[in-house]
Amino acid sequence: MSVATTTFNGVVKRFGNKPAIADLSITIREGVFMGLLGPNGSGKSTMLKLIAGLYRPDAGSVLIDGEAPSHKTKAKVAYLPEIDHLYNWMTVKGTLDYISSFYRDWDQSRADELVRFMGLDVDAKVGKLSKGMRARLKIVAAMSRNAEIVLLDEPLSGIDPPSRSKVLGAILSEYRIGSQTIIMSTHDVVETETLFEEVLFLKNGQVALLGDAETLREERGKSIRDLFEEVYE
Amino acid sequence: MWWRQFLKELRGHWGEILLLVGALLVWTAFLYSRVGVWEPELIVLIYWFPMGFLPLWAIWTSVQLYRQEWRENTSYLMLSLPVRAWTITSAKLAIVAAGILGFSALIFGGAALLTARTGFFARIVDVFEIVPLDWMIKTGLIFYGAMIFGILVVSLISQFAYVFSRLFSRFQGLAMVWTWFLTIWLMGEAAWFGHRFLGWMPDLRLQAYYVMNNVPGTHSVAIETGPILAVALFLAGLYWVLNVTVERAVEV
Repeated sequence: MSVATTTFNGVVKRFGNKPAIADLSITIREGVFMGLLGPNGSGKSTMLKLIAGLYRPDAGSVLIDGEAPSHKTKAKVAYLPEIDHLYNWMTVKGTLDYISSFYRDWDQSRADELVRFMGLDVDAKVGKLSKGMRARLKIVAAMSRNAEIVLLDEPLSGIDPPSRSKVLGAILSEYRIGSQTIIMSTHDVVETETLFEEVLFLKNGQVALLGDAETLREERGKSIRDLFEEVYE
Repeated sequence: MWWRQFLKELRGHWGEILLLVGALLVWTAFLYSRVGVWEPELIVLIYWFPMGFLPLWAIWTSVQLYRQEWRENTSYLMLSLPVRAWTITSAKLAIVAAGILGFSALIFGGAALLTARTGFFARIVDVFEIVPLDWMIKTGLIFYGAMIFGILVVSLISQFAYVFSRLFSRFQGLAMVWTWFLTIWLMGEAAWFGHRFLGWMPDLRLQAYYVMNNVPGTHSVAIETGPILAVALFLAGLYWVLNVTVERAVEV
């Protein structure tokens, strides 16, 4: 299976007068696990929403396999937002059935396996789940697909340690190396550093540092965590 | 996919629909209990009162169908689905249509029950001896269809007004109200355009029935098709703009 390329060409996205993304030009290598790093307000979520087609650039273009985000590109992208975006009145099973009906790349056996692994009750209402359980369900919804691009926006944000461990476990076990691009935003580098093959540090909506994680560690003699502190100090 | 989307909308508004059905049943039961106490004409007349709320329900629901998506952040899911916008917008319109059909069927059922129970039907049965039943059915269906269509037009305009207001970062409520009235005005302008420039199109002719001194008669009523066509084209255009806005402009 080919993997979609994501390109930002001089992208600007403003909220009011403040640019969240400022003239960003970058091509994200296919088939890698990329860490999108930066403190709050650095433009991580905005960048992911631009790829998912939930925001439109004010200038420049975002291209996925040469196409602007549309219903066609959305079929290639699995997006997990930081906020709770699922219908509270649906059950866990209802949610997964609903989402699966829209995607040809949905893998039902993988979804069943992930639901078991996450310890989710299929009959439970989404609105009754704890924050950690909702985070687990969101991961099931995103990782049950054979999507070419998976966008994970702060998947560990504000959840309990057991859920963090389950979420990370599911991401690791379902990541298809080389045939899937995962872009995961986080400002929590400690737990996630070892996941990343490539890292992109964003600062004020611009690239502060970009490179292969291993190469950066070797060249700079520092861990990604230390580099994070250096970039944002 | 469309069916799934439709069912999602239906289940999402199930509570509201059941509440309204319950209120309607209580209203019917209340008037049923007044049979023999109040005048039959009064009972039958005020029974139709809820029908006046249907357009208001359509406006409220049309806005809520979208507003809830943004308020509860499910717009993230809705807008990330790999479907053309019409799948989403038509499912939301279909819910309003289904609601109007369901509520009006319930209201007509209750009306039939009360009309028979109050004896009101016996008082008006003479009309059926004068006015042919098939004409009454045909005319009733035309008016019913026009009412449903009218309410759906209001629903479409309300949905468009809400979605369009999402393009503004501030004063969204004001933008919605302004868009709603502006669209109604533009529709009126389209009707005027149709009257002015499409007047050459053949008129629709309906047979109107009248009774004078117990003698029935008919006369032909001409309805201009130009304004109807122009408004239909305007509404098709509005629906297209709604879809373009959902697909290419609106954000979470």
